[in-house]
Amino acid sequence: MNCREVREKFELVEMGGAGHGEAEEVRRHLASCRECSAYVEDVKRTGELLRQFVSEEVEKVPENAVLSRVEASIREEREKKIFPRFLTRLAPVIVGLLALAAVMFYSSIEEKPSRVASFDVTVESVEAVNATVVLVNKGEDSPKVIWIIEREET
Amino acid sequence: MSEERFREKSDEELVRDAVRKDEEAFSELVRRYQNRAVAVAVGIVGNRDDALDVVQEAFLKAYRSLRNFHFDSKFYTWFYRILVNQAIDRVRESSRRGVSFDETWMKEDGEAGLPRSDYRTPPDEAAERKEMSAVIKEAIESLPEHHRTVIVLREIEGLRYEEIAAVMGISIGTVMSRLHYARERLREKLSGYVRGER
Repeated sequence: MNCREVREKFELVEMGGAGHGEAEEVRRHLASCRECSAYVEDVKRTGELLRQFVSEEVEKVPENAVLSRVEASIREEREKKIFPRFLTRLAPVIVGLLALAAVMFYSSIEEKPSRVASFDVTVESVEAVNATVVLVNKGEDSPKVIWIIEREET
Repeated sequence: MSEERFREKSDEELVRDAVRKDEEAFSELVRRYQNRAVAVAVGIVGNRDDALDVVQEAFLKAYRSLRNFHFDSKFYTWFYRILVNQAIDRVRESSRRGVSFDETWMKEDGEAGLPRSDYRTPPDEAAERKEMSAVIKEAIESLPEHHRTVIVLREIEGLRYEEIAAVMGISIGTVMSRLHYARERLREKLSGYVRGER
C-alpha cells in the first residue's frame, strides 16, 4: 500500500470500516512512515481548526433563529394559498363592485312605491281662501307626511 | 408543552405527523436539526448570514416536498441532500456575483471588521483570532464546492463515509478521494496553524 492509499484509508480504519487485513496494512505503514503519521496528525489539527471556526460563527446565531424564520415563511405561504396573489391585487376592484351592488340594491328598495293603508288628514291652517292640508300615512311604524296641499298647489 | 409531546418521537414519525398537516411536528424537526444545519451551511458558504438564508430555504423545500420522502433513507440524509444542494447553489451564485468573504464580513461588523464577540477580548487576541478565521475561511473557499462539502460533512457534522456518500449521491471511493484532496489542500493552506508555527 502506498502513501496516498494509506492517507485515504487511515480514517476508514479508525472508524472500523476497513477489513482486518487492510487495517493491519495501514497501521503497519503508519508506524514506519514518518510523513504519513505527520499527515494524520495534521488532518486532526485541521479538523479542530474547522470546527473552532464554524462553532464561533454558529454561537453568534440567536437561539431558534432558524425556527422563527421557517415558521414565518410557512405562515406566509399558507396565507398566499388562501388569498392567491391575483385576488390580493383585485381586492380594490372587488370591494368597489360590492359597494356599487350594495348602493344599487338599496336604491331599488327606496324606489318601490309604498302602499298607503290609511292616512290622516289634518288641516294645519286656514287663512281666507288658502289652506294647508297635510296627508299623514299611518300604515308604517312611524307616521310619514305623504302630501302637502298648500294654496291649491301640491 | 408541544415540545414534550414530540420528544419521544423518531424523525420518521414526525415526518408522518407533518404530512398529516401537524405543523408542530415539522417545527420539532427544525428544532432538532437547525443548529447542525447552520454549522454545515456556514462551513460551505463561509458566513452566517448566507448560511441562515440557505438553512431557511432548505427547511422550506423539505416542508414542501415532505410527501416525496419515501422513508427509504433517514430523514437527515434526505434533508442534508437538500441543504447541501442549496448551499452549493448559494456558493455558485455568490461567485457569479463576485461577492468575496471580505465584503460579507465588513457588511455585518462595520468599520472595525471584527466579529462581534471579539469586542470583549484583548485587541491582540482579537486581531489574532480574526486573522486566523480569515485564513481558515480563505482556505475553505479555495476548495471546489464538492470537496468543501465532503470535508464539512465529515469534520463538522461527523458523518460516516457511507452517510456522506448517500447525501451526495456518490460512491464511498469518491468520498475518500475528495476528502484526501480537500485535506491536502487545507493542510497546505493552514500549515502555519496546523503545525503550531503561529
